[in-house]
Amino acid sequence: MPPKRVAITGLGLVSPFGGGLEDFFDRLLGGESSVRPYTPADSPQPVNIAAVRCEQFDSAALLTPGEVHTMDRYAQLGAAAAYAAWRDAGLRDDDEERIDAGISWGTAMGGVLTSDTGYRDLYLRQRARISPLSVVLGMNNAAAAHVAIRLGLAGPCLTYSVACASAATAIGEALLRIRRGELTTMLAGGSDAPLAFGVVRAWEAMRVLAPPNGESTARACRPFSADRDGLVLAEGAGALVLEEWSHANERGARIYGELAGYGTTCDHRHLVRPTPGGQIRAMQLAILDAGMAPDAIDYINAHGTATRDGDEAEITAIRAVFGGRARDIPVSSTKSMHGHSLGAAGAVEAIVSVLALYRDSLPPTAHLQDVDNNCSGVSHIIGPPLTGRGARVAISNSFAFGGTNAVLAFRAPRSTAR
Amino acid sequence: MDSLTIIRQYLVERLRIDPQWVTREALLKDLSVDSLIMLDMMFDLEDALDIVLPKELPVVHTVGELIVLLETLKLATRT
Repeated sequence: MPPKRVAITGLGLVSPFGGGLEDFFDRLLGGESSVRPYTPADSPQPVNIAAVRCEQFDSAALLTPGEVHTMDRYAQLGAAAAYAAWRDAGLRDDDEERIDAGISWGTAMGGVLTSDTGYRDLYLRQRARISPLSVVLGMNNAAAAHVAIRLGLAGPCLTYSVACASAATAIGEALLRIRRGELTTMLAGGSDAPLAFGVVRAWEAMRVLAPPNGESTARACRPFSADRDGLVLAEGAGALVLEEWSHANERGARIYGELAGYGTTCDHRHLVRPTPGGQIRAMQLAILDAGMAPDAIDYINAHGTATRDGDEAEITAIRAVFGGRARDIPVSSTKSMHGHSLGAAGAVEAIVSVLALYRDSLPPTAHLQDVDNNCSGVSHIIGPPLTGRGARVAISNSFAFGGTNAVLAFRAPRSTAR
Repeated sequence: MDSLTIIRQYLVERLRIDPQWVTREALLKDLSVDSLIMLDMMFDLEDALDIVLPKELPVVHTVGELIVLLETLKLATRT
């Protein structure tokens, strides 16, 4: 029996711009950045970075008081995105048990704001004890567990922590479960809220953060640019409802597109320095898994964090996979606008890729004027979006510290209709 | 501050419970207090009332029963 196909029937995210899904995508098409200067609250020492924070996120409006009180911010963002995707898919929003549905989540940092608060209480304020909720707020599987409870998801409740490939891995592994016929529906995505003082200091120490650059903070993240200067930390959350194709059709669900392929590999060379070899194999595996040839790809949503080594390795890998055709394939890194939300990035960028096909509009890399020679040889989308080109297939790259690479392949609904 | 006022304050501030529902007769589960919230609330009450909680907490179902427990612990702590 051929493997089951998987439809994407719901999308949800917490937008750093404050609006909904369509508004978020429209702003990316317009090249608008959500990067702002950021100072963590109650910083014991001065710190100022460029970051993306979901300033307008109102947990009290989206979650019950009990949920708000027992969730770290990463879980609050995740739950909000998951519930939005679930409703977007037209599924019942209650806790009646669903044995054929599960959740597959990603987070790199988990409840670090809770840990940060606990450490401050213990070490800085010399308190003898910390909140009894510290463990359940801080644990990495809290977001998935809260969502499963609220929506009655009685199938697998899994959390993948694979640094910046966490959400892409979670989505890819969910695809495999539905294909195998284990269940009909998976909520898949990821969330992270890493903007705690201690975490910011740790990232600063790695010397990979883009400087806030005074009044031009919005332009701090410039992937593939000759003058790129590092990544921008972001909080964020994204979720997709994945559904076995006939199940989605039978209930008359709107189908945004098909999650058609998934490839994952490890560089196995270095903890943080990427090598093109693993990335090449991950892209090839995802394309092969989707039953396609590299020639079919119409858009690449790049990992593109704007680090010197990372961007160069990725473009080298793309050139190797697509050969001479690489120079014709539109590529963009939307992190230039929504920042790098670590374990959530793969979900946010999966949503961007799905909407790019669904609306046949490919967003640009913002702030990219002078392409680095080492990042050339592909068709960077610069300036206005590319619209009305009949884009049918996209891949989304997520490459993580630790060497894990995860690539997802998507097909537009008009090319998947049966 | 008496025990009822402190319990009411916790439930209003943390769980946004309407204060008029926090009566001696009210069932804790109807006020969104499950075992996890109970743990957190007792942690707060321990500080606010300057009491020491035993490792094993007796099961209480209503706000009134909780108040009796707290008053007993207050007395025990003082003596």
